[in-house]
Amino acid sequence: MKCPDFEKLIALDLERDLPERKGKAVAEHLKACRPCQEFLEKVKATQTLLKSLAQESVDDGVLQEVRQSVLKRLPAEEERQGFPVWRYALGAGVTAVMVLAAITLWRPSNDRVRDVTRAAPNQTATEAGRQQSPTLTLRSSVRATKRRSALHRRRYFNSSLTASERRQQLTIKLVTDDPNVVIYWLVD
Amino acid sequence: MEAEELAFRMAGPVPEIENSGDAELSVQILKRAIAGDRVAFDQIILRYERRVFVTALRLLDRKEDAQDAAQEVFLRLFRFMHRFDEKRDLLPWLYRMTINVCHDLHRRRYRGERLRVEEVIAANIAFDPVREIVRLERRQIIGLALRTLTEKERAAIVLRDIEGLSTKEVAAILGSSETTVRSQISLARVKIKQFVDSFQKRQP
Repeated sequence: MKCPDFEKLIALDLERDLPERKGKAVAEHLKACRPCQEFLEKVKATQTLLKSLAQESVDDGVLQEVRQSVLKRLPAEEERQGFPVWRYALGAGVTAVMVLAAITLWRPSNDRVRDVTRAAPNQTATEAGRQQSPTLTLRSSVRATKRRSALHRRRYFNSSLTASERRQQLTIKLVTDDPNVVIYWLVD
Repeated sequence: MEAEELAFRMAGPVPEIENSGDAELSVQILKRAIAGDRVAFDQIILRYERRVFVTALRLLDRKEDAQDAAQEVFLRLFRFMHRFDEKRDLLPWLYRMTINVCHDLHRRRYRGERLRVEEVIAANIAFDPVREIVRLERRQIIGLALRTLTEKERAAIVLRDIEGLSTKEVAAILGSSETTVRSQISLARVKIKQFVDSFQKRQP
């Protein structure tokens, strides 16, 4: 180990921060090394200087300024702590009022009347969709909530339907505001 | 959860620093403060303001910055004290918060700038370093030396050598291993010694 390596250990050994074994090695090296002895003396001096800062007095006025400034800001801090709850409550309230208002005030206009077409028993859903002769009128948009999975699978995977299924089948075409979106509801 | 609180909580357990009587009294005061007693909170500030301010002053080396940091530390304490485990010692908590606040403030105001030894010496000694050394207080020389250290070295040396905590306590506060802290302390002591040497060698 060279002197620069020992210097780091010497700096630690000053405050007994070294394990005993390393401390002994440092002591051995110091006995024989003049430059490291000088280093030790200098680092001891700066260490004394550094530790003297701990005894340095602090102006009470400076501390008082800090304390007063903190105490002055506490009400704002309390308000800040309470703010999120109130903000969320207000946000939820406003949203609820807006939703209720929308539900109460909104009525579909006549141009939004949807047409529903009864398909012929042997027509596919697409063919039924092309027919423009409404037989039933819905006053609001309808969302399909029920799926006839077996029927649906057979229809879209080219399986043949039984005669009774075809007879009972009803295809409802729902035209939305978006001309690219047409919903077919298959009911038997 | 705010970033500073998260950083604070992530740093792990902190050691006991106060003696048991002081710690017990602190717990009582803290409980009252958490319950909304402003007088108790004022007592907490009175009890710890000097250590928080001095630590911040050593880390930042500017009185105004240290005042701002100390103020922020106590405001954060007020903000988060209801989440504080009353069985734990408040002082290490405050040290850790002080270091976090000082790092944030230093990065925000000075972009984490660290002074170079040559620049500091050139700026502070024009022609007659011996007279300047006499003129400059010892605190200023060490203050300048501290400013040449990295943030971590500075925090380690301030807590270990100025605040007088053990290496284990410093490691717990900084969230580092004792080996890392020893290495930082060793480097910092060598750098400070070299800085003072350079300061004294620059004679006309």
